[in-house]
Amino acid sequence: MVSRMFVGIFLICLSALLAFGGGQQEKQQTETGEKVVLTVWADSFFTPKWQGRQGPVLDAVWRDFEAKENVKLELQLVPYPDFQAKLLTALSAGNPPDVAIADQYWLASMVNTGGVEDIGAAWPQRDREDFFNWSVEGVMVEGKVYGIWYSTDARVLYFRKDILAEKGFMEPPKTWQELYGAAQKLNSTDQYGLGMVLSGEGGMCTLLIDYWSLDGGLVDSKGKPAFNSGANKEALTKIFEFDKMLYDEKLIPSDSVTYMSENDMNPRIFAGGYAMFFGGGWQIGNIQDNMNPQAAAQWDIHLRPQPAGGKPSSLAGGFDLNVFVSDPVKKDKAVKFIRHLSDPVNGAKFAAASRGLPVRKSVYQTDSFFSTDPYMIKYGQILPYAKTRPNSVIYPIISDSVMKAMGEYISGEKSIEQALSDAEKRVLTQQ
Amino acid sequence: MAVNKENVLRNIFTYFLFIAVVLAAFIPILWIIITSLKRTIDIFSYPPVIIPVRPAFENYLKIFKLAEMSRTFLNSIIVATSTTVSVILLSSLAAYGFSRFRFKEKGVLMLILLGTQMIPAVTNIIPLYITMLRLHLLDSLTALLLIYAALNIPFSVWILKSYLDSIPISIDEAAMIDGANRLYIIFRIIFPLCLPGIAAASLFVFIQCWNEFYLALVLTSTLKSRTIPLGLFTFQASYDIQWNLLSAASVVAMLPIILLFIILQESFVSGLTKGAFKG
Amino acid sequence: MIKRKGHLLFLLPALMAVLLLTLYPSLYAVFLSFTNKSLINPDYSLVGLKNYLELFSSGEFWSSLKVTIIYVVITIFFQLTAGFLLASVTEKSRFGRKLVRTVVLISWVIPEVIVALTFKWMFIGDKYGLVNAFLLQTGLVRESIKWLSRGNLTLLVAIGMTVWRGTAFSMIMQAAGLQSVPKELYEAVEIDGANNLQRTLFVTLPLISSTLLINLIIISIATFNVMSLVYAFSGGGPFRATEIISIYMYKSAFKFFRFGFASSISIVMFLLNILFTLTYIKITKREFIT
Repeated sequence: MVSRMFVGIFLICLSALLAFGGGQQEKQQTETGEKVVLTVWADSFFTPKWQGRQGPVLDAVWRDFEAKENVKLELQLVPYPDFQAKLLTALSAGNPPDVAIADQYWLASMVNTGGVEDIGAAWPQRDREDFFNWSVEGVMVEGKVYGIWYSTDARVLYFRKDILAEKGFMEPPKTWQELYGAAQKLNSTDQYGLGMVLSGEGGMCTLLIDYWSLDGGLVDSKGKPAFNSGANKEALTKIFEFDKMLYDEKLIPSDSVTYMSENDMNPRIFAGGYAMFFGGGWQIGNIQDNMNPQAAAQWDIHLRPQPAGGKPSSLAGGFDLNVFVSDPVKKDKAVKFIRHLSDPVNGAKFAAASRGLPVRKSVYQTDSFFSTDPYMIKYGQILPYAKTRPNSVIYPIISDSVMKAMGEYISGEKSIEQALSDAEKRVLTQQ
Repeated sequence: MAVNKENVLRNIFTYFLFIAVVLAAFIPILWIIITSLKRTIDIFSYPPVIIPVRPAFENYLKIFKLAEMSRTFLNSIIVATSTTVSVILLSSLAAYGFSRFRFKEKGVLMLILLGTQMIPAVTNIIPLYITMLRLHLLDSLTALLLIYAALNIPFSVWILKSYLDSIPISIDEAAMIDGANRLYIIFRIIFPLCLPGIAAASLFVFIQCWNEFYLALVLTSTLKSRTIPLGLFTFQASYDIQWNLLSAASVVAMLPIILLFIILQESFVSGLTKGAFKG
Repeated sequence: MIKRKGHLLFLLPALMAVLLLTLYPSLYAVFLSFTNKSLINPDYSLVGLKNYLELFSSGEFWSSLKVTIIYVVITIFFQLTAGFLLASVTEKSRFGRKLVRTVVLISWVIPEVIVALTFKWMFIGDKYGLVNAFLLQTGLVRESIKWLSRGNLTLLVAIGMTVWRGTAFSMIMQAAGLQSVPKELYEAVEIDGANNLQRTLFVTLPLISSTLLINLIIISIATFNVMSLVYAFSGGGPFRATEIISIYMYKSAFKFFRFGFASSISIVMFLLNILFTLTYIKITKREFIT
């Protein structure tokens, strides 16, 4: 009787497995006239499945494409933290999706693994000119075009207008000197003068803005690390010292060394714990969603304060659309799909709903939202100053090493000289 | 038990400490449940909102209707149940073999079985990916079943063997004298006696399968084979974490196991005993 | 024990399943550890012991080893003790047994990701963190504690989180062990005038020592292999204060895609696991495989 129950359960499981447990389909060659199926990998934020504003917007956009081109889009949600590893694993096994919406700085590693399709031929030059320069360069590796930049974010200074005004600051700080002074005055028991990220990729992005402001370069023309010599090294030294000063004087919370992405600052931001912070474009969306409207409206943005002798600078991150399928029929549809997503109308719709930033210059002039929303207008002005992280295979190692060096210096473990030289060694051995 | 003032005081103190510890242990769980009922705007307010003014029950609807949780749930149940059943089947056979027979390789084999538990799970990810790819089993519940079974068999064999060791072999012998063949003995006689041990092993295996994340991450991609731990990531995206939905999904994810545990409660604990641990 | 023949039939299915799907990939991992295979480079070659040399000469390995040992030892100590205490108290009385077991079970069953994120959030280092808010409101501290920015505090919280999550297992194992102690023994000792503590030390513990040993071995291995719980909580920071060796391996494999190097780390982890286990067995001089 017990055994019978057991056998019963087993048979049910077996049939359930047979019904639901099937494995991957063989890659099929498409016949003309038959509906093309495209597999799309993306993290939920970029898909119709997102439980927020852009969900329904994207749903309409995707369905529109499916109807127009007689294509079925098979979406597969991938968890963001392991997305890059998953893509690379799939690529190296020859089993990638047809299309992916990937974080921009993964491109170099994907191209190196092989399998990313060159779509230059299908993307007219005329259209390319509508994009910011850096966004076109950002999808190119060794002269070939491997995708289309979909949406971007810019790293900027966020500040509370009301709090600054209370302490007599009518304008946000524009230089390091002013920043330091303002942070000191704004620091109180309830609130930190400044918030920033000091580790991980977010920390590197924060650092790079100052680094580029001082004309620093990470890799030389041969692809070797160049940060530990000459003017580059001086620039890094200045940045390290400034950040350490902020940390030691408690103008930024000591937690900052554990933050790896700007989002880590969100709980404190929403609770009113910062007067200013270095954040990303998308955070205005987070703020508007999570804070009450009056408080949210007090946040404003500006270019990051520059070091003495530096120039205006920002960093553009974001996601691009890549195609991996080589079958001509499918590839054609895939490219049409990514062009559909990133065309002036749809791209703008997505950006508006998700509070991302469009990469097309024209959108800032013509779109009703982006040409009138006060934040977006400012972003439109800041973006031309932005640069993107280099499309180099060793970039992740450099990023990790430099951040590690910064951590070692801030904690007092090593001198800048020692930390940077160790960082360079690490990059060279790990290549 | 000798009842005196000392004992009573000590008991009260123990109970008090005990209650305090349990309450403290419950706080994170409580926090998750509370968060699951918050609207987005309440999540980060300061002072922290302990009891949401307007509980957002719709979060639970959202995760099911709009975010594919029902399929993820079904997948997890299928994988966990089939793995548990297969593991129990194979392990009980093996446990019987280890318990009832004497052979010189026994020690070595048991050591090897236990040794496989010491290999960090992440080590095997790439070879397993390639194997499943070649077998066309990528992105299937079957692949998960196979691997989870292999991972859980050693521990189940160990539990069941210990349990079997405490069932006197005279029972087997008596049945054999009566002319029954071994398989019959196992399933009709020994098996029912082992129910507590089986309940214990089943619960462990089920929980392992339910929570396993990394192998599922690497080996599956589409909704048709996505399990709950991966499903939760729908709410933790690149640009935002939806804490309330994530918490709601976690609460839902816990329920089947709690249910299972309540059902198996009594038989469960006694399953690990039965002289299995005598020195 | 009966005849010797026929035993293979019973063992074979289980053994085959395990060996094929666990041993074979592990052997492949051993092979990988002698190569420089990287996910972002299709070509790779044998490099002999280079990975191991790099590993043993890197400061990161040794510091992560130190952190791991501290993390594991303290965690398993508390898990065992708490497990034992909870098991004893619930064994004596029906009161709250089901409740305790359920609460403890829930902590074991909640998906790792959300445990890590909840703890991370609860321990935010100023008044916005739940724990600090509580401490400040009740006046227990005057200034909020910087839980997550001081290395040793973060490690402490990580340990607490792991203990919170893992005690269930120990409690259940030991409840079972305790149940097998005959009550007559307790009564006999009571008559001789022993108090609670003596009874525990001299009667209970020796009798459940096999249970304790198995418990110890299993949670050692399990704690040693913990990865995503701590990674989601602290990312190994601040300044690698919580970078246990499994996180170090994970980063090598999935942030830098150096599979050859990561495999060498996992082989070392495997050897450490074996070392731990053998040490336990040696110390207690028990033969737990009969």
